[in-house]
Amino acid sequence: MQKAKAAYKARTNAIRRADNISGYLFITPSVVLFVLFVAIPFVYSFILSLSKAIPGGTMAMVEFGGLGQFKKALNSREFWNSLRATAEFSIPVVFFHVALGLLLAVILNWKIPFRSALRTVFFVPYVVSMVVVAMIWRFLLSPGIGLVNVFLHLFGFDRNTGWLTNPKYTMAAVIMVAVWKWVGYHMVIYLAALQNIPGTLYEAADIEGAGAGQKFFRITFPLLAPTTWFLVIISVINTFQAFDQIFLMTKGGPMYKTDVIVFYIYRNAFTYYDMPYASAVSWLLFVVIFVVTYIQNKLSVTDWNY
Amino acid sequence: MAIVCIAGFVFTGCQGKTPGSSSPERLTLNFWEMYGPTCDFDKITDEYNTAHPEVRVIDTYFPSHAELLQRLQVSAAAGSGEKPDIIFYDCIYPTVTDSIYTLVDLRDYFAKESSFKYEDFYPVFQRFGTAPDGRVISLHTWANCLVLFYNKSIFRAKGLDPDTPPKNWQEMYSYARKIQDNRAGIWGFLGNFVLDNSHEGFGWEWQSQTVSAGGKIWDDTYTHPAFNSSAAVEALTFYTDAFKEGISTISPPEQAFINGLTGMQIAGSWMQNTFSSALGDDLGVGVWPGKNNPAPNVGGEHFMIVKSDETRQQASWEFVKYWFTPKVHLRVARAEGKTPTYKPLEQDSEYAAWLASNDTMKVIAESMNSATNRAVRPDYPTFTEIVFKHIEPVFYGADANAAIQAAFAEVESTMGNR
Repeated sequence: MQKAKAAYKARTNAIRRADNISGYLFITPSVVLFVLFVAIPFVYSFILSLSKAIPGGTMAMVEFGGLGQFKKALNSREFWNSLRATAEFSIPVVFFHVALGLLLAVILNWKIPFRSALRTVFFVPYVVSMVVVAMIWRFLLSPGIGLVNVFLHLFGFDRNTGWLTNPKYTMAAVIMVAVWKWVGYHMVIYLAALQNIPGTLYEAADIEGAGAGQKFFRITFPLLAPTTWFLVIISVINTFQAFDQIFLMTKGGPMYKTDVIVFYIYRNAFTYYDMPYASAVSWLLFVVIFVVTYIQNKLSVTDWNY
Repeated sequence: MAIVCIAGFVFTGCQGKTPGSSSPERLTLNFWEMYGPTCDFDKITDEYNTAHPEVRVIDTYFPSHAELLQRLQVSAAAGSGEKPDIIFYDCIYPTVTDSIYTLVDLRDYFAKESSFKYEDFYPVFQRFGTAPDGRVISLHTWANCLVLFYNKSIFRAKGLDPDTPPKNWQEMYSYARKIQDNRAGIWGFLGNFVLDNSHEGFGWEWQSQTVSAGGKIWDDTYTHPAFNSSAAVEALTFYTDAFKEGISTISPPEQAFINGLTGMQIAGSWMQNTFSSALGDDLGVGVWPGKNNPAPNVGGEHFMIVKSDETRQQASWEFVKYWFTPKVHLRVARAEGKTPTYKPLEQDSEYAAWLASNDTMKVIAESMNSATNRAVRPDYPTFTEIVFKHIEPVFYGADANAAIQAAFAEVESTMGNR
C-alpha cells in the first residue's frame, strides 16, 4: 500500500513537473520580451535620469549627475508649460469622452431606427488609425477650403480661421478631434454596462411614478459608477500619453500651446538628444500618472447595489 | 513553439555579418542619404553596383533631417554594428556630422586626381563643406535656393504682366494688393515657412530677408551673433505687416499655390516639378525679391565620407565621384530642380541645354549672384530653435523689436564665442 502510494505520488510529481516546465516554456517568450522591452528600459531610464551628458561626447557618454535633471525639469518653464498643456488637453477630453459616451450609449440603447448602423458610425473612428484621422482633420480644418470653415462661414464665421495655427483655437481643435476619435469606445463600454442593469429596477421605478430624469439619476447613473470610474481612469492615462495626434497636427505649437508632456519628452530625447533630461521628465510623468490614478482609485465607487 | 520563438530571437540578434562589413569577395559600403527613390538614388546605386562588382553599396534613405541625425547619433553611441561610410545630407549639417563621426579630409583625395579638381567647385557653395580647421569635409553637390513662384493665370486676371514678377518688397506688396481677392479666397502671397513646419524653414527665410535689408546674422567668424539690427526687425515686419493688411497669412489653405489660392508663393526651387505638374504653362518663376536686392540663402546637399580604413575610404571616394558624372548628376538635378555646383558639368552639352531651357534653373543661376550662406557651426540647429522660439509670437502680435533683442541675447549667451 505504501509502495503504491509512493509510486502514485512520484508519478503525480513527475506530471506536475512536466506541466510546470511546459508552462514556463510557454510564458518564456512573453517574459523575455517583457524583460527586454519593458523591464530593462524601465531600469535603464531611471539610471539615465540620474545622469548627465559628458560635454563634447556622444549621446551615450554620460556620468552620474544625481538629481540634477529632476531639478532642471522642476525649474524649467517649458516643463510646467507642458504639464499645463497636458491638463488643458486631458480634463475636457476626459469629461467629453465620459459625458458624450454615456449620452450616446443611453440614446443608442433605446429601440430607435437604424440603431445598429448608428452604433457602427460612432465606433468607426475608434478603429481608424490616428495617422489617418489626423491627416483628414488637418484638411477638414484647413483655412479657406476646409469643410469646417466652409460650413461655419455659412453662419458668418471667418472662412480663413486657422484652427491649427491660431493659438486661441488650436487646443480646442485638438480636443475636438480627440473626443471624436475615442468617444465610440466609451459608448461601447457604456452600452455593455447598460445591458447589465436589471430591467426590474426600471419597472419598479415606473410603478413608483418616477420620471425619465429620476430613473437616470437614481438608477442608471449610480449603477454605472464602476464603469464610469474605469473609463475616467483609462481616459486620463491615455490623454496624459497623447503624442501621435499632437505630432501630426500641431507639433506642439503654435507657441507651445499644445506642447503636451509626451511630446516635450520626445523633443528633448530625439530633437535635442538630451536623453538624461528626457528620462527624468518621463519619470516625473510616471509619478504624476501614478498619483492621479491612486487618487482616482481611492475615490472610485467600485460597487453599488440596490 | 516556445523553443522555436526563443531560438528565432537568439539567431536574429546574433547575425554573423552586419552591413558595412567586408568579405574577401566584395566590399560592402553603407550609403545614408536624403533624396531617395524620387531622385532615383536607389536605382543609381544599383547601377553603380552592377558596374563595379568589387563593391556593394547599400543605399538607405532617410526622409527627414531629424531622422538621419538621430540615426547618426544612435549609431555613433552604439559604437558597433551598422555605421555609414558615405553620407548625403543637407548643407547645414557637415560640421554637425563631423562632431558625431570624423569625416575624411577630401583634399587628400583631390590631390590624387588629374581631372576632378576641387578648384572647379563654386566657392560660395563649398563654405559649408569647410571645417573651422580648414579640412574639406564635404562636397556641395546640388544647389538650390528659395525662389518666387507665381501663377501667370492669376497675374493676367489681375492685370499684371505675367512675364514680369516683382523685384523688391515694395513691388511684392503692390502686386499682392492687386491679387488679393477675399471673395474668391485668393491670397496675395505666401511665405515659405508656412509650407514647412520645421524651424529651419522659417530660419532660412528670415535670415535671407535680414541680409537683403542690409543686416547680418553672424560676425565674419561665426562666433558672435550680429542680428540685433533694424534689418532683422524689418525682415519680420515684412511678413507681419502683410498679415495685418490681409494680403498674406500665417494660416494658409492646404496646398494653396497648387490649388490656385495664392498668386505668389515663396518656395524652394525643388518644388518646381510639383508646381509645374499642377500649373503647367501658368507657372512663373522669379528671383525671390529682397528689400532692395535679393539675398537668397544657398541650400543643397553634401556628400561626406566617414573616416575608417583606407580601402573603404578610397572605395567611398570612387562612389562619390560617380555622382559627378554628367549623366548621373543631370538625372538627379532634373528630378529635384537643382543646379550643379561643379563648373565642368555646366559645359556638358545636354546639361547646358537643360539649364538654358529651364526657367527655374535660370532663376537659381541668377540668384546665386547674390546668394548668402548660413552659419558654419556644429551647433547651428540650436540657433534656429532659439530664434524661432522668440520670433514665433511676433506672428501673433508680439513686438518684433523686443523679440529680436530677446533672441539675440539668448543666442549670444548660449552660443556666443564658442
